Amino acid sequence: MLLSPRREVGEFRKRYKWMALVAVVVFVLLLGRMAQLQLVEGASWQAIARENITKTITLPATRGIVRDARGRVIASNRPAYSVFLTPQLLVEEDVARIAELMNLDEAGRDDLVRRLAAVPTRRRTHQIEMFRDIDREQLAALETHQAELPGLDVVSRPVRTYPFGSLGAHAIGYLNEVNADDLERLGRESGYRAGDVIGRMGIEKGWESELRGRRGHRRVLVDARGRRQRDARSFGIAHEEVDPPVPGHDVVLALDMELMRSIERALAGHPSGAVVVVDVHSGRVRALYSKPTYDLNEFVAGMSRTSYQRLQDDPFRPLIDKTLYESYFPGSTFKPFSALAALDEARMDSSTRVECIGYYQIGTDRKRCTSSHGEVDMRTALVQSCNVYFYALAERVGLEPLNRHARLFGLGERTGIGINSEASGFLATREWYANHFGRFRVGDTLNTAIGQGNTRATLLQLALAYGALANGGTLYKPQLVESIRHADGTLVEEIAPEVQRRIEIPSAHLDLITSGLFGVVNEQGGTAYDARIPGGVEVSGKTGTAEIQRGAMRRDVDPRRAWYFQRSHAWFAGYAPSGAPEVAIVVLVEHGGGGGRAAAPPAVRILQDYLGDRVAHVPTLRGSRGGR
Amino acid sequence: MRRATTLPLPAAPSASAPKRSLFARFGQDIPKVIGPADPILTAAIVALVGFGVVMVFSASSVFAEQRYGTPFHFLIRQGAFAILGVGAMLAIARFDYHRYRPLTYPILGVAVVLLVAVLVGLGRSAGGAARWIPIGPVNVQPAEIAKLALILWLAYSLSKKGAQIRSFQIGFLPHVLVAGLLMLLCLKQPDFGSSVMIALLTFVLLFTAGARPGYLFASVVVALPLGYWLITSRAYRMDRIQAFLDPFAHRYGVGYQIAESLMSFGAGGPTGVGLGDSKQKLFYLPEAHTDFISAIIGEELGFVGILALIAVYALIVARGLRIATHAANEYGTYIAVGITFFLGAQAFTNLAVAMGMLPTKGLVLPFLSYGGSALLVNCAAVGILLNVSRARAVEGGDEVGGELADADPNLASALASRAGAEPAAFSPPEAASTTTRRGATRRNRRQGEAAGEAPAGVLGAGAKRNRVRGGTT
Repeated sequence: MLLSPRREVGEFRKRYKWMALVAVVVFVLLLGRMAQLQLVEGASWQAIARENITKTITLPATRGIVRDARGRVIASNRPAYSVFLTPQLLVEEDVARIAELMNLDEAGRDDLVRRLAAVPTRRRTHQIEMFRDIDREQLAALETHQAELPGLDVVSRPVRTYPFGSLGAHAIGYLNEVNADDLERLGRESGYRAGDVIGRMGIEKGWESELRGRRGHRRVLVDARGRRQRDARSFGIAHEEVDPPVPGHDVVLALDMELMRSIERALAGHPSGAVVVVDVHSGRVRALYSKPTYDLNEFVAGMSRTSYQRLQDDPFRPLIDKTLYESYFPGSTFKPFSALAALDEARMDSSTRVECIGYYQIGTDRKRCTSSHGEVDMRTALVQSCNVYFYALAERVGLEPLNRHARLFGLGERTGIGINSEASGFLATREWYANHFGRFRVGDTLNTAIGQGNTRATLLQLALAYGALANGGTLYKPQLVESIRHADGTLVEEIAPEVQRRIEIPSAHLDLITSGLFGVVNEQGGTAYDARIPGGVEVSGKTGTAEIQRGAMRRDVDPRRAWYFQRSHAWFAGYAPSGAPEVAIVVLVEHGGGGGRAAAPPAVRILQDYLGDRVAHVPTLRGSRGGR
Repeated sequence: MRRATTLPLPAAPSASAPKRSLFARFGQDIPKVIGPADPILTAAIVALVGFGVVMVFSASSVFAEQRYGTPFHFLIRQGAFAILGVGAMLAIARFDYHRYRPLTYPILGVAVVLLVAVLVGLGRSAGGAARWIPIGPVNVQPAEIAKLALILWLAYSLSKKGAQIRSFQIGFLPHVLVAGLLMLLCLKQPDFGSSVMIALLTFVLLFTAGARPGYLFASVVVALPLGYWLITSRAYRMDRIQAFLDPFAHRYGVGYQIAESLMSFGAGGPTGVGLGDSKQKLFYLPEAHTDFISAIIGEELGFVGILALIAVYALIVARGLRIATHAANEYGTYIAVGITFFLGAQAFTNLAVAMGMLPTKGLVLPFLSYGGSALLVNCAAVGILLNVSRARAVEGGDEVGGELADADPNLASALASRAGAEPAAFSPPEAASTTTRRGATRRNRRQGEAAGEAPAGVLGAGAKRNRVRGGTT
């Protein structure tokens, strides 16, 4: 070409050269970049891409099963399905379709739309659990159409189930999802992640580390919509990598759910109360019963705000574990320990007599007795629960020895059962009285001796203390779990009874006390004599009627019902069979009035149910433990 | 090159003077076609189109199965378009490019009308931009047609201007104005990328035709702030820039595509994961079979595959530039340069975007990406280019020279390079009959050097097949 004379060939060449140069540079740039991406950085890109196309599926660990001492299932797992939605992948029609498949009503659909809209942007590419524990029809409908709905996943998520429902709820406990605070508190290395469940109460919380197990993982090849691809040949995923989950250990409790049931029957007439039964030879806790209660399954399913509020507002305080979280004035159930203090301090002996004229004059103060008992010795004072005797006893013994003996029997310190943040109870000292009321008065000692004062104890503490009375002075640690087992039933760990301390008590002293306790139930004039079952299991024990402190008057209850909440708490603490004690029992009927009338009959009934068949042949014991 | 500047061309002025009158008006004295179209270019295009069908199938099968129930959905369509496109290319290659001259303004007019039609709402929109007009089974992209129309118009106009090309008013301004109009229409769609492409196209052709570098430089200086304003004025353009600068910071937002694309390339490594084994096409990489098909190629065939691909595009550009230098006249040269740039720039831009070297821009990989419209337009462009590549007789006696060049081009060039002198010196009788062949032979060699081809073999073959370039000097 170059037809035009205007143009010099040189000029065109020059420009042509530039163009060619640019073309070469451009292609070299491409090649350089290509080499950088594929040759130099290839491996790291491969790693990123691999991360991108694989998904780690969490394989949840099966939580351990909780059984009672006789192998009955208390807590287990029920197969259930959750609906996970990925907001990013859902269009409006998808949501409508899901609502239709799930058979949601208008309100349910609107709620779903609202909840989906509320998902923050950074979470929109994640699977979010929208429905839990869907029913069979919903499951079938969703599974059938899952392929058409890329944003939908139906995932198996076992739900904790409690066959006994509300029975023993406080001791068994429940679980729910970890929240942000938990995750922060537990830290990363704990292995908890959002969506995990964690024990919140009772055994479920206390034995979380055994029950929980360890989650597993599976790395699978997925497409961008998270659907699993079968072809995992490339990217070095010859086989899907599986790190199998380790199921949690099963926990076998000392509890006896049959006993719990009988306790429930025995307390049927009372709105609120609690019962603890422990094995006197091992400290094994056979029953931890707190009433009123709540259904654990409801808690696990996610209780509505109103239901929870109702539980919170209930004047009988169903959310409180009355066996060990709450402590009470022990009332007259404290008297055996006062008596032991007097015997050990040699201030009184079995023959010491006190004249009861219905009251005890201390300075200008006149302290009343339940009746006019006349001249009583220690045994009679226990049997008939004469306050005047114990006032006199207190004056001779003093506060400090009373407290020391109470402490020997485990009062005022936590038992270490390991669940439900148990109360330590309280033993008021002189200093405490001085600090609290300005000065210490002898009257405070007198009140302490009859379990009023400011001594507080939990039912569990009392049960163990009575267990120590029954077994000759061995205070056990309470034992709620008997053994830890693998899912297949093989033993992981057998938990042996643990002795808290051996209390050195002269057997003569102890015999005097236990003889008195026998009399309470089995002798005419005994405070629990009316509760005895003739021909049944022989029960020893002590009734108690703990007055409600004026200052502790409940203000949260309807004034029209307030009278009820001013009634005394009824106690019965004891053990059976009297001749060869097996279990100690403490029954508290809140606002039940007199212990002999309200608490002793259920206690005897419970013991009869529990021991009746087994100990019918045990020779009866009359009058004294010495016959054993 | 050094020799080129010192090349004495005694016959040039005298030979070209009468020829100029022959080409003064269009429709007259079209030079006679005496040779076939460039077979290397034809082969390269056919190979690319065929490879494209394979890759479209590989990249789209999963998506197609999910969306349309058959993995062959895109394969069938792309196959049909491939046959149609190659057919069109071969047909157009037989249509003498000089015949476009009378059609220059009608074609430009149609392009403008189509652009306006898109703007007024006749088109089909996607992603907020109206860019297509459905005609039958294909979606016509007026911007693509406008680029071709602009190439034809610029080639026509520039070849007419002669020495006045160096003037501002006649040589520079009119071309910039027409290009500016097209750019404006594209911007309105909005199609920022096409506007940039039109600007570059105009720039390159003006440069080729000999416009003053000063003007070109000045226009760049003016255009830069304007471009900056255009980019910053639209949020989505800024997003794309940011995604480009740091794709992983916008991993699940604007940077998603580019991040996935980089992963695809990187995952391919030196030799790829194997044809059909891409994992990114499992919906990770959107548009896997269209704009980002190169990422799938990179993943499945690795560095080796992309290297081969780039080599083929380089070959196409080299052949295109060669055709430009060998064209029968300036008109042909400009058409060839324009079309070569049109194709090369698309290929480069697409690859550069996919490799994260340029901000995201919806542009197909020519001949490979799925899409009938783009394939047909590109095939048509190559068809025109192929026609330009055909040897033409300018004056009587050309064939003689051609025969000689065919006879032993290797010898001629070998001698030339050894002697360091004009190849023409070794062909005295033929050179005497016409000056054209001498120039052609020399250019053959220069062409080879410039495009980085292997000197002897390829050059020889090229020279042989291209026969004589009529009126080249």
